[in-house]
Amino acid sequence: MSALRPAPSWTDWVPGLALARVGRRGWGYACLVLFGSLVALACWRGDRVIEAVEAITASGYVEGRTLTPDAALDVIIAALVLVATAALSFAGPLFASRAIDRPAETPLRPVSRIRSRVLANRQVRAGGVLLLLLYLVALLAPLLSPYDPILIGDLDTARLLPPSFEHPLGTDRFARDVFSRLLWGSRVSLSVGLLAVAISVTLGVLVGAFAGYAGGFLDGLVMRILDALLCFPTILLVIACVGFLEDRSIWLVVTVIGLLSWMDVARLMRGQLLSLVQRDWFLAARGLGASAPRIIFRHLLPNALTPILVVSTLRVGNVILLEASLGFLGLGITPPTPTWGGMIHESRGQIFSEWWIPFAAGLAVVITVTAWHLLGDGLRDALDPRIGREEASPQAIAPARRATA
Amino acid sequence: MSGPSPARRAIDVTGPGASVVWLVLRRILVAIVILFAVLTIDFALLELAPGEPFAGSEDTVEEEVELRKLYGLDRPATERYSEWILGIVTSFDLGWSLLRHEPVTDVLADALPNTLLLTLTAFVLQLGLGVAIGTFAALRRGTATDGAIRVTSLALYSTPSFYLGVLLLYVFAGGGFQIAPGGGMEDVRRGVPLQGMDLWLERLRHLVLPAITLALGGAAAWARFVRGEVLDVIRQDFILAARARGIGEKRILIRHVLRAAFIPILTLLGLSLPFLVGGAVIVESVFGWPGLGQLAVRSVFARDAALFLGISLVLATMVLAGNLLADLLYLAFDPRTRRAR
Repeated sequence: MSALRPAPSWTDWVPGLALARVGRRGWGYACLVLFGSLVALACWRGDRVIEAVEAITASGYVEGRTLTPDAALDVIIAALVLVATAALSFAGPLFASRAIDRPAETPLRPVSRIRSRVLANRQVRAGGVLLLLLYLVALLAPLLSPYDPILIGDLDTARLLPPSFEHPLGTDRFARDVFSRLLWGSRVSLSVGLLAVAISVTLGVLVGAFAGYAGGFLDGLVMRILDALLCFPTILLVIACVGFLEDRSIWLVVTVIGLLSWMDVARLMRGQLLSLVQRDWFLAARGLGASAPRIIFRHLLPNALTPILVVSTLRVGNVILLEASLGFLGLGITPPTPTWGGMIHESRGQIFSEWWIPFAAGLAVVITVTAWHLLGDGLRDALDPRIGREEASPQAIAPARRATA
Repeated sequence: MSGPSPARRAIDVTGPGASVVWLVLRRILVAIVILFAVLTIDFALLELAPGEPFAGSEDTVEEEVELRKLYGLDRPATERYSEWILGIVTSFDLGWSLLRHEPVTDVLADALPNTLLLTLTAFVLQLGLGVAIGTFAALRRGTATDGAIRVTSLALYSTPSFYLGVLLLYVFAGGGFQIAPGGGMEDVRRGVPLQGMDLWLERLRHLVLPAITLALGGAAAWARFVRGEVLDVIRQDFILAARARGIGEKRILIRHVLRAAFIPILTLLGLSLPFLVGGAVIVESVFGWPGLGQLAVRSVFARDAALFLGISLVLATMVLAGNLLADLLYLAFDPRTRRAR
């Protein structure tokens, strides 16, 4: 970056170009493309938003209106997301370009140093950008999808159509547009991963901190139980909990997966605590008379956070795989809610004739999970080259080796 | 490695009075307690879950009541639970399968060998492939080959096994190349049942696709893990010392590097088993392989709680036994524990 700021020009007000002018070409053009496509989407789907606003504001029945209040709300939320993202991709580069331009006289603060190391990692960047796009697609699904994902179409003329201009991925047995279902299905996969991991990490951290801090008999008891629970294939436990139920909502699946997959996080947390309590600052905190909760939450937890963050990121990918597998077995979220695993399950009889349905749905799973794994791998490399390289394996429990000494 | 020195997870090998027999006994005892706890939870969940095994058929209400009486489903749950547990403990009687109309024990005895065949084949395949590819990548670290292996293993590792199975099925069983048959264990269209050697050859042909599907995901994970371990070992001083003594590269790799990487591999071995068995549930369902996994899924659809519980019991026991075996191997091979004895 040159210290000389380029002369102001009107191009600085085109989103992203300002960033490109100070040397960040990749980010700048990416922002420009994003902003452009969002504006194009807004123009293309403007009528749908207007219709949704009318459907919400109008009271009572109106002739010829097809949008239900829920669907209209979805559209409006998506429109708000679109406006917010567009504003960000417009204003972000402007501020960023000014910040970059400032001469760097003061050394970076530790936090910024970590941030720049994380952002410099190629895997983090690839995974992060992919995930941003995927989550954007999920949020904008009501605007992006050409047809309703659940409404059954014309069974006489529109069943099992091959891919065409109107239906990019053809239609399924119920004459629903597969492309629309794919877009809406991303909402399930992406939210199940995040929510279930949030539950399991919270539980795991609490149990692990408890066991590690309590020590002695309680610690031994908790660890024995964890060991034994880890011997059961998670998918079997999840099937035992949800398989026999008639109505499996997304909340049910999220809760069950979250409650059944906290064990290895607990173990990692405990191992971290055991090594942290040997440090001097721990002794100092204890000597100063800090209470146990204060020591755990103010001193120990922040120091154990890095490996937990890495493992949780990798974990999101594995949970998405688990949910898709459940869906494939026909034991996932109840139809007609579109899910990627469920779409493959529904097309089981037509693998050889309508191969594009399972192909596209599976590819979507692979891309999403790869993105999460890329992010996790990169975070691990960037944050600490040494911490648990083993966590990358699906076994994801290897840190246990360090846990007991 | 940061933190305390690595030691086998549940086993306190360095503590006073650590004898192998006691360790094994303790593990078995804890395992049994947990197994029964899980069975109880399973039983309660299945009891609470809605859905009737006899609903939806063309029976009248009276017939349904009759059927429930016949299978003993009209009695209170606590009574059935105690009877069920007693049956398991005293005579290994797991109840009656509504899906297959025979005792659960018989159904399990039929399906268990098939599952063992599939999982063991996949296990050997994934470990062999994983160690070979991981070592190869570590030796060529930083090259394009290494990069390609890393990208491929990341993608494979992120691929759901059912998707891999469906793809392989499409390519090799139905689409372009009809190399390996896809469904089941034998070709059901054949009129005369096969005998002896022919039967086993037929089964092996049918085993190819499911075993590869099950093995590939695990192989990718093992490759990633082994690559890291080998890289760790290569950097250490004793390898440099071995080189300085003029020992050949091949000998260093086999006698020194792989030997040192063997212990961490052994630790992960037991922990990877639940994933193998969980994968078998899915892969068996994709390929119609008549094993426990496929049966578990079908028993859920048939609301056959007794069969599902029986399968859970057997699969969990399989994993526990494998874990125990890995622990014993570990005790036998780790130099630290050898000294402790």
